[in-house]
Amino acid sequence: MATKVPVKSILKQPAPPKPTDEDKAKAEKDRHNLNLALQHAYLIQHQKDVQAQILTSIETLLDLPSSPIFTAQDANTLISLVQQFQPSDLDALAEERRIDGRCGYALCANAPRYAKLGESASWKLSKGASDFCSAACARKSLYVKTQLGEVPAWERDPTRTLTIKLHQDDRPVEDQAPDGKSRVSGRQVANDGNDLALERGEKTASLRPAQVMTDRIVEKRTVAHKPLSSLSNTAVSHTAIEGYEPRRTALSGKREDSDDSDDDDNDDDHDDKMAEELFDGVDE
Amino acid sequence: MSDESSRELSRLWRILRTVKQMCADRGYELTEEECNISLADFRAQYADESGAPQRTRMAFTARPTDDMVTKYTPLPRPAARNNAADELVPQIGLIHVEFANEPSVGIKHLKAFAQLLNEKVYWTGIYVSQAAPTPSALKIVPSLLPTVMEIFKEDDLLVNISRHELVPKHTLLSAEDKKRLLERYRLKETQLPRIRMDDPMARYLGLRRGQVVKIIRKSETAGRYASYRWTI
Repeated sequence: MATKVPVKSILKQPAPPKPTDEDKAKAEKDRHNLNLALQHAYLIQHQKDVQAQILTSIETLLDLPSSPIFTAQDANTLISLVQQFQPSDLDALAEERRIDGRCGYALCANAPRYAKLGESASWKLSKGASDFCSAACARKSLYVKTQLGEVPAWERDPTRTLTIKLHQDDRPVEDQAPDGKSRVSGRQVANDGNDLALERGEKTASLRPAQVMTDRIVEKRTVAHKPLSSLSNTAVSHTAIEGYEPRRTALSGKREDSDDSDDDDNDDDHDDKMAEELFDGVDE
Repeated sequence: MSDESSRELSRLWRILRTVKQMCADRGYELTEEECNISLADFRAQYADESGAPQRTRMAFTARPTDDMVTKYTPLPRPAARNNAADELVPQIGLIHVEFANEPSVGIKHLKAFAQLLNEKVYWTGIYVSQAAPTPSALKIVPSLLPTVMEIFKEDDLLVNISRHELVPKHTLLSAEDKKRLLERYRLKETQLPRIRMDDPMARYLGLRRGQVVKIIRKSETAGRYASYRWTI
């Protein structure tokens, strides 16, 4: 029976200070800011992770091919790793392989031409060509490079994956693999208008950056020409001055003030008559 | 000895001298003779029989001096004052300097160097390359932290920039000095003027993000003028 019962005060508890609207708004703002900061931090972290992944991919590709003639497994590794690359990453890979004493194309075991030519390669060959053992390898590498997405891997749509194909000369080896699926030629796919649109960067899931050309045509708003005079809707004649048509050019200042008191003005001047003819119906 | 190799020898002699002076300026234990080695001594020590310099022989390791250790010791955090003893690990250690033998440096070379730093538990590594390493190789550097790897090009080390007439004196402030400075001027560190980490003098001193460096300039009116920069 000696259990302690917590004593409950009979006095009225001082109510905790009620959060005012100001506090609430501030808390809300703080939370919003925190979420925003976190979102950006995660984005940056993701970017760093992907960059690190690309770096490790380059490292693995440095050691390909495992035998003098590449195997189907080597080809598959290349195809799967290269998906994340941007074209510049493939250039970096070629340069790294050249420094390592291999041909810039990851499936070739020969030494690059740079090894034979040395420093003279810079003026004997075009830029980048000395990284490869032959023009054929350079072409094969270019074939892969053109298929890569120009959008960096961390900005790509994760639902869409890129399918990279090797150059024709290297493909039969890949086809001998047990799960030889029917090969769809690159041309056939390219015929598909949808794919073309995707390739041109016209869709959000595209692997190319948004380009200048879009298929949406925005008509310019045409403004109908409006006469400046608000009095008449008719087109302005060439005699108008800033939209105002001077009415009686021949009248002098004296005649002008007699204009409205025309009834009691009896002396019929020639000029006056002319004016009255012009403004018919004023007298009557 | 051919003209070519003697020119290469004197080039490397200047580079090694600058690197050693740089390490001494940062506060590592290096003697005066080591920092100002004469060309004849350099030839005797680092050239092979044919007179060509050997870059692999030029690698060296140095210990930080006691002054440097205290400078790099962080202040105790107010919350962890009770067990401050294990808190105050100086953020500095051995430095290892290596000179690249190959004309171009790729991922593999820097990976090997990083592994060496890791195995021998060096705190800082300086890699002197003949040409700029490839961009993808440079991406390894931030992944090694807290081990610091610095990469210098040989061309940048031919002349010791800190000895130039127009370069004012830069001194690194210790954590305590920094705190005192901020209290004295009632500043937050973000209110200080800044210096970039890739500034040539910041690279020379191996500044890290958040450190404060004191720059003493000559002034016509005041004689000397001190300003402070926060490393970003």
